[in-house]
Amino acid sequence: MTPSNTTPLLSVRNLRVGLQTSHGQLEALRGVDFEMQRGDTLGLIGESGCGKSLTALAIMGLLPERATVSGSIALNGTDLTQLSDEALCTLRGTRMAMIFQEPMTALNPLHPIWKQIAEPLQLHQGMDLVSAKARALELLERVQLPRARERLDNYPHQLSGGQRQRVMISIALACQPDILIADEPTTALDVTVQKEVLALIRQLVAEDGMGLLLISHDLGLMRDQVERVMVMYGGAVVESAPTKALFGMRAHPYSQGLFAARPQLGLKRGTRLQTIAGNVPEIFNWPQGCAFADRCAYVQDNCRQALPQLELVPGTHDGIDENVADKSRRVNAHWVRCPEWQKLEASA
Amino acid sequence: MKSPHQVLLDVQHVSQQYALPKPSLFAKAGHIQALKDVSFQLTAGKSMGIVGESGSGKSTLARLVMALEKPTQGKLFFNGNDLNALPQDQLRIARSDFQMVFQDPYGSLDPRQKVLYIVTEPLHSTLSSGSGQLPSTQDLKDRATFALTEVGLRASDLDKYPHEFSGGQRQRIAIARALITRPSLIVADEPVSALDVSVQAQVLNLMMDLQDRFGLSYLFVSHDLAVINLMCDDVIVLQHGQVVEAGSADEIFQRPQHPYTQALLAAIPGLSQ
Amino acid sequence: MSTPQTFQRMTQRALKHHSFAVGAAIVLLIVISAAVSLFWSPYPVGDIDIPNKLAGSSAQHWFGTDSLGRDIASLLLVGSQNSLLVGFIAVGIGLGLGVPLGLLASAQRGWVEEVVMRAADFTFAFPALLSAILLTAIYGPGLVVSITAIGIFNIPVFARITRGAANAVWSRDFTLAARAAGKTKWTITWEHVLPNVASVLIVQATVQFAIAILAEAALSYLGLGTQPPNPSWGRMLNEAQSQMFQAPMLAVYPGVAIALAVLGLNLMGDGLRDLLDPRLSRTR
Repeated sequence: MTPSNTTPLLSVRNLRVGLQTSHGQLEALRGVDFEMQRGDTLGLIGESGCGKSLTALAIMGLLPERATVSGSIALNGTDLTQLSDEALCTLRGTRMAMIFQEPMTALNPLHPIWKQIAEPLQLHQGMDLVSAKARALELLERVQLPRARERLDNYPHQLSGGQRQRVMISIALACQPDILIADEPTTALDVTVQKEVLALIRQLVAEDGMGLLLISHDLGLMRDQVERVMVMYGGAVVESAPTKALFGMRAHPYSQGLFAARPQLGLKRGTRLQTIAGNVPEIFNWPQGCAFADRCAYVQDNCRQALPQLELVPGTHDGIDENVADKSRRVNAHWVRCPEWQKLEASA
Repeated sequence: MKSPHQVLLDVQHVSQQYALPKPSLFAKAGHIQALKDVSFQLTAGKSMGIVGESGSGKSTLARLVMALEKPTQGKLFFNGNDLNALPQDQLRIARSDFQMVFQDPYGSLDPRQKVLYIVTEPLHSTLSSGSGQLPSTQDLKDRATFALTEVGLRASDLDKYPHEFSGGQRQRIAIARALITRPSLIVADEPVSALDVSVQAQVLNLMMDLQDRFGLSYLFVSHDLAVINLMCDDVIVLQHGQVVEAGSADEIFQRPQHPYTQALLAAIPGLSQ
Repeated sequence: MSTPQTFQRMTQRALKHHSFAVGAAIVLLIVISAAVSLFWSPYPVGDIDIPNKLAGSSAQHWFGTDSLGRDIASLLLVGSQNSLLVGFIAVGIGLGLGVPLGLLASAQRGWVEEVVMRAADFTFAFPALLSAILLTAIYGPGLVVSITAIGIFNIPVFARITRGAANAVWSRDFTLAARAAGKTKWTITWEHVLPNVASVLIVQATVQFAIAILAEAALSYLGLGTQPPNPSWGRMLNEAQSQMFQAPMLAVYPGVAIALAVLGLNLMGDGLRDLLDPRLSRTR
């Protein structure tokens, strides 16, 4: 049991993000809370517009110019929301790193790959060119890029998708960050390559004891890669649980719908998939209270008045007698943001 | 409606090569072999899945079946007609019997046209209507309205532009467009890959409903094995332009023989537990 | 959202965009001046009034008079007709001939594209202004020749831009869908490609318009463009040169007029680029 006075690696409290849209200033993230220790692997799952990528960008301080942020994001105890952009620049790439979905656009097509890996080393660690290039080679070998030495001078377009993603991973890991945020890192890759790249990420994260925040829309991926999953919908976390627990039982109606909608190999040909009625609402059409209210079969009046609070599924915390606020950080806790969840048939 | 068990699509030893740009003025141009000796048959009323990753040639195959390209070798027969031997006007008539749904819901609809135009486009060529006469405006509108309601949209949507719709809705419009000529075959090239999971489920259900209602056949191209298993009776697996395995969906997914097929199945995330 | 509503929303957005609003206002001012000058100007431009030459601003002559006593305000007003005419026709030639060439090159690809693009390259190889001078030297100076010369150099510009934009449109799936529907390349070019490249062309047209005005002013300055007695801003600059020390303002007025026209068009073009492109290729 981790003593409560250890500074968590990442502590996000009541994170709210407002965005400037053609419909005015709208709240895109409505109070996200979570905590990670070193070595934790956390998954964020959701569909388009739920706010999962926005959460990652908020942590990295990469939100658009006119976005407003409130709440706190503490990395190793330092509140990132209070830092200037210059201060954040010293942290990005060194203590926290991010990899993106589309490696072709995330890499500069005009620079050879060794140069792109050397860049954070030169910038943050003041390495000279020769040492940086040598370290770049080490990193490429670590990410298992075949024939790394020959490939040092290659340009991104000369590599395959999976190879480019490995390059991006080595750039991210160059300065040995404490936390790695991966936003749909394998969505653009073939499934066989995806498996290798994810295994690589898992291995490196374990070796370095980093925290991993993995963002994806793919449930199967979550099952393999992370210990804990948060389901997001309409800018809020609607369910949060250890991966095994979530795959055993979903408490929130949206999570149930999401799991049930997946086609799986065992299904008989022609089986109709279970769908969630309606469509994901646009940000300017989010209902006042729970964003799922318009599509929920169990909606009550109080669901629409205000965003429901997170409730703990009984029996899922580890029993240490601490105050409620700390209980929400317990790794085993299963949280659900739905006042009606107990009335639902918990589906497997 | 076709009578069942009739061979709708017969692909015979099709190969496709593309020439690469010449490296220098006098050097010979190299080529890429996108497809090599691909053969299969699709029976009316059934669905065939084409499984492959990037570079497998699956999209090239889809374009060849749609007669959007000519193969370097081999023949494609649709309803007994050699598609590449037909004169242009007859090909245009034949096209009303096979249509396509594309992967990208944002690229497959012309942003500058209204939904009415988009959905009725296959009817625009006079000859494709069969009667040799241009369909009247009212006739077009009626057929478009019918097609939209079939896919779960409304008549009022005819007057809108694509950007007013979500990805899933755009894909429905694309399906309505493919349905409007009442084809026997719809070639679907990764039709749900760009959609969210819950939207994907809605669109797949729709495609299954339409198949039951109209006796359609699908040629379903995808990298997602679970989707193919759900939608298709038979499957061919492509790797680097060649068929490495073919058979019924049950055989392929439960008793895969070829190492590549086995690797694909093993790579599906979430199954290892 | 039906079309009238969309148009209304678009106009509202357009007016809120600073570049566009200012640019359009300036251009509108010039267009109104030209329109008005068709029917009226403070003084007829042919009126020479030697006793009153080189007068400063006054109630009778708002901008004063030139070395022949002609009213400068009138010269500026009527001169705007000239500039606008050149712009319209030169850009018109470029659009009318360049766009079809670009569309043809993009639709046909292969050797047709090669020929068209190399012809464009060839034309680009000649420095536009010098070639215009050469043409006027051969065919004699005057408005018609100078417009033609400027117009010819607009053709490869639009051909190239159209072909590039059209290639991007052809790579999108909706053209494949149109082919799958049995449409010919030409039908697709007319119904799908052209509407989708229109925004790029509109923006470029404003840029080329400004360039045409500058080119005509340069030619007129050299005496090769519009011939007297027709007023031209460029020629006013030339005439002002000899009076540089006695009446410097003579150069300022036409100079400002030219600069203002070019500025207005460029601002409008910038604004249009912002308003037209991201809007219509909006992704979620």
